[in-house]
Parts: sequence; C-alpha cells; structure tokens
Amino acid sequence: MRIRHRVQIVGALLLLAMALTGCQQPAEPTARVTLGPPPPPTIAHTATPEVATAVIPTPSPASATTVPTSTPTPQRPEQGIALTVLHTNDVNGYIDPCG
Amino acid sequence: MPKGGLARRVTWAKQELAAAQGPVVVVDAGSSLLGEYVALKSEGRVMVEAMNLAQYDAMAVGRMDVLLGFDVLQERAAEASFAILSANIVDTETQELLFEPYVIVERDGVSIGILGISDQEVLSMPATRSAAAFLDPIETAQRYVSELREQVDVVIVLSRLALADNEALAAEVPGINVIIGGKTRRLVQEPRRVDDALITEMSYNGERCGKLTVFVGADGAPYDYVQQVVALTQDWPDDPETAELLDEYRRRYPVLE
Repeated sequence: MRIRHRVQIVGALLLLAMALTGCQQPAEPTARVTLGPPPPPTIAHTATPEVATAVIPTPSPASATTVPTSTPTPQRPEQGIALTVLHTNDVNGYIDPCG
Repeated sequence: MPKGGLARRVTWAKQELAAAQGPVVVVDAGSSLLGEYVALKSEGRVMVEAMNLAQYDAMAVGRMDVLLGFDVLQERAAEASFAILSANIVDTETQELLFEPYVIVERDGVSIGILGISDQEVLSMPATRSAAAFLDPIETAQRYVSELREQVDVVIVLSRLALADNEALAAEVPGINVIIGGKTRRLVQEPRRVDDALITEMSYNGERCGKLTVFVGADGAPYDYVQQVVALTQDWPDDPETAELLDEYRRRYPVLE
C-alpha cells in the first residue's frame, strides 16, 4: 500500500509539471556558427536567434508553411538589417573548372 | 580536383537567390572578365552573359577587365545587367569618370550602396596606360561613402586594393560595412573586422564563392556575421542555360590543338 501511495504521489506531481510547462521542448542551442565577435551590450537585444533563423535560407519550403510563426519578413532598418552578400573575385575569365 | 566553372557558379547563385528569405546582393570584386582563352576571344562577352544569368548586381573594374582597353569594357558595361564600377579612374583629358562610381540597390525595403574602387594596376596595360588617370582610393572612398551614407542603409565597397590596404581603407573611411577585396587573391575564411567594416575575399579563378550574411544594427554598425565559403567542386551541377551558352562560345572560338 505504501508503494502504491508513493506511485500516486509521483504521478500527480508529473501531471502537475506537464500542466505547468505544456508540451514545449527545452530550447536547444542554435546550430548557427557565429564567426564574429559577440554583439555589443547596447544592441544585444537585437541579436536574437529569430533574426538569424529568419534570414538564413532554409532549403525546405514545407517547413515555412507548417510553422507559420517562423515565416520570414523583410528586415527593416529600424529593427536592424540582415543582408546576404554573395561574392566572387579574380575569376580571370575562367569558364571551366581549374586547379 | 578541379574547382570552379561558370556553369557551376550560376547554379550556386540561382540556388542561393531562390532560397533567400531576406535581402541579397550578388557582387564581384573585379579582374574577372578577361584572361582565359574563350573569355579573351569573346572580349569578355561570355563572362558578362553568364553573370547576367547569375543576376549579379555589380562588379569593380580590375586589371584583367581592361586587358583590351577601356573602350571594350565600356561596351561590356552597356551589355551587362549589372553595374561595372570604378570611382577612381578618370579620363586623362576631361577628368571625367570612365565608369559609374557606385550603384544603389533596393532589396526587401533595404537600400544598399555598392562602390567600386580600382587599383593602379588598371593603368598598367598597354591599352590603358595613357588613356586614364588614377585618383587616390582613400580620398575617393571618403567622398563617395559620405555621399552614399545619406541615401542607403548599408555600404559595400568592391575593392581592388590589397588586403592590408583594404584594412587601411576601412580604418580611414567611416561608414563602410563590407569590403569585398581581391587583389591579393587570398582565401579569407573568416572576415577581418576593422572598426565597423568586415573585409573578405575568395581566392581566385572562380574556384570558390562566398556567402557573407552581415547583421547591421540600427546604429549602422555590424554586430554579427556568418560567412560560408563554397568550393565549386564536381558536386555542383552545371546550370543548363549557362552550359548551353558556354558550348555556343566554345564552338565560336575553338581552341587550336
């Protein structure tokens, strides 16, 4: 009986914990590799992971439609800007692979 | 293992542009249009046509772009759907610029100013030696960056200066966010930061491409960045449209055995 009573208490505690936290998974660290220095404290509030995930292209269009909250919106200057620069240099007229 | 190739590069650019979820520009820091046989025989046309397909926005004028003289490059500039830029090469007699100094691109509500700075080697070719004069890069950049800053949110400089000189450029010209260089032909895996500017370049011969995402705060200074270096290996398929274009040019200018 004592064991059954303890099981009931543990079960009740688990149900209470689930009710309080919902189904959310604990936040995982982002996989994005940041090469730059950490943001200055004065503008640290703008360096949110959401900004990064919103502008770095995701190959699967389906993921954007299944998670509407992550649908990217253009970054306005007053919110900070995330600009991608695709760049090349010194191609020297090579049309074929070399090296 | 050979890397690079125009048709692979166009695939890469198209793929990145199609997947983009924010403002993107496509740029080249110059010395790209001439050199290899078919490019030289076509006077740079094959490169410009492929870069049009890749939706480039701008390139700077470098030494290898003026091998056949300024007149030929000006013809290519007229055919290009992107801007060919140099803010510091002027006609010897009239002192007027031979090319547009900068272009302003609007993307997703963000305005981007792209400035072209050439190096003195542009005037080292027989076809260019007496035709033009060279203006001081730093003084020129100070003038135009100041002008651009009143109009745009982000300033990119496409520079033909050496890496160390680009660091001096960043230190002496406030307001630059990104410098894409090339003269030293180095592979800069991690952009160098000088004050508020990030400086990078991607080796040479089109073997690699760079994707730099820069995060600029409301104060106009970058606070973070991510750079991806892409080696154009055989894993990258040729863009069919570009492959067809290249075949046409190879037929037109066959290499003599």
